[in-house]
Amino acid sequence: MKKIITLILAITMLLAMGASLTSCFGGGEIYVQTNAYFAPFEYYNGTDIVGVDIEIMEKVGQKMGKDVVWTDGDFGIIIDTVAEGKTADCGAAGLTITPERSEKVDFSDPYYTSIQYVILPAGSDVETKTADGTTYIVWEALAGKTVATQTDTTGWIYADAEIDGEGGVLYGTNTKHEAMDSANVAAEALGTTIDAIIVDELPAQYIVSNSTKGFVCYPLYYSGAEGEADEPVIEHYAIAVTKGNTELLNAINEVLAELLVEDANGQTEIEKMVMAHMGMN
Amino acid sequence: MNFFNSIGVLITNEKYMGMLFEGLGTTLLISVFAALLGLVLGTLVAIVGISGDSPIMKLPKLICKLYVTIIRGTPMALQLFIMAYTIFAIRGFPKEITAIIAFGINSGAYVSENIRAGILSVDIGQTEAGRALGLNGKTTMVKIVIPQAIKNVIPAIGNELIALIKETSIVSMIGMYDLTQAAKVIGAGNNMASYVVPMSVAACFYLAIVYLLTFAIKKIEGKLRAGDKR
Repeated sequence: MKKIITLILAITMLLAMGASLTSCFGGGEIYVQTNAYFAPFEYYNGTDIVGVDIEIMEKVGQKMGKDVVWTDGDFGIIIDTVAEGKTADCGAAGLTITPERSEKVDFSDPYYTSIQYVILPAGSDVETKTADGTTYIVWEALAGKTVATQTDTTGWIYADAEIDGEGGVLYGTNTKHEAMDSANVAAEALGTTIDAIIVDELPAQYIVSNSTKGFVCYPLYYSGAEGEADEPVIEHYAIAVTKGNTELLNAINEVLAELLVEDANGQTEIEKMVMAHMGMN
Repeated sequence: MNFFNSIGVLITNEKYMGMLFEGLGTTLLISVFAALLGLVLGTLVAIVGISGDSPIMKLPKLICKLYVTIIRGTPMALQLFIMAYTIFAIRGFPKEITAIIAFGINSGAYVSENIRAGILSVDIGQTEAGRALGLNGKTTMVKIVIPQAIKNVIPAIGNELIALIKETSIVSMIGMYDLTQAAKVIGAGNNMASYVVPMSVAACFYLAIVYLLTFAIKKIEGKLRAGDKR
């Protein structure tokens, strides 16, 4: 009898310890999952993660009176962790809204519109087109090339559909698609084993302006049908929130609405942040 | 020449070196504690593994066998992933502890096999002699077999420690700021925009740690083998 009582007491104590452990780890904080290799939206400055998404979430934290805790990890894990909601309340990593992702998480209002870009090495023979003063590249121009993207990013999703997917623009044209750890790793091999990198507009410009190897970048377009203009590959960034967490979702949307108001010069607060982080204000 | 210039730029840059040392701290922290955990776990598992075939030991033996089989048979990266995103998926749980536990458990499986091999490598005649002199089983093990086994085990354990230190480089996968992560960050577009240079410098750091460790192990081995005529 004594033993049984001791056992019960021991189990209760363990459970209580577990409960207090959980409560001391999770309190008045917002946990945000990110992938800090996406300048200017999130990147390491020394050992701190900074960027546009960080500034946005700090404002959300101020609004809700909570501290914001950042967790860095693989890009591919963000949607899963946010969907589960165990270690993160939301994900801010320049996430593009896609139907598949929307099934798992709630997206905030879009706060940035990006175009897919192609980075090319100096002296590349990839053909460019010009219309209305914009120089761009159509998918067809990449035929037969080795194209790199960061695994699971929208660049990867597009390339996977157009190069490896049946019915894609470049399917069966002997074009190769390589998935890399990040666009930066791909940039290391650009010009030697890789002919082009598909990545979002701003990171592309960041890589081109910081590299000493004379890279160039152009927007990526879909060829229009006969008589129609070519269309850029557009996407919208938003913050992913665990399904059902309307309090946080509303707070994020309120902050984004404030940041998206245009000032007298027609510039929004978010555009200014982007410029500041790109070092061109 | 550009490569060496860039290395010069990196090692004279206070911010970049600060980042590398910060990363080095994490790498050492994980390595040291994981190694300690691995040694303790490994020794326990090895002792269970070589213990006699009494019925009470059946279950612990089975558990230890399963542990070694599973841990040695699956990739470290996957184990770390499961630790970080399933088992220790607790808000604010320090990632250092997650990593130490993941690497400690992994290292323990290898260490246990090394220790088991070391103990078995001591000639059975030593045990027989001990028992013939009237020592009991436990004393024979502690006073006669284990001291000889340690000597045989040291090189293999050293090998495992070296492998462990280098393997911690995968913690950047779960977003930890270790030496490899620091090198990646320095190589990112907003810093040097070149991976090869910071990675090479980080490699030198790893080499230095491993070299120091090898040196220490050689010293210990030399001391233990002082009485041997070989």
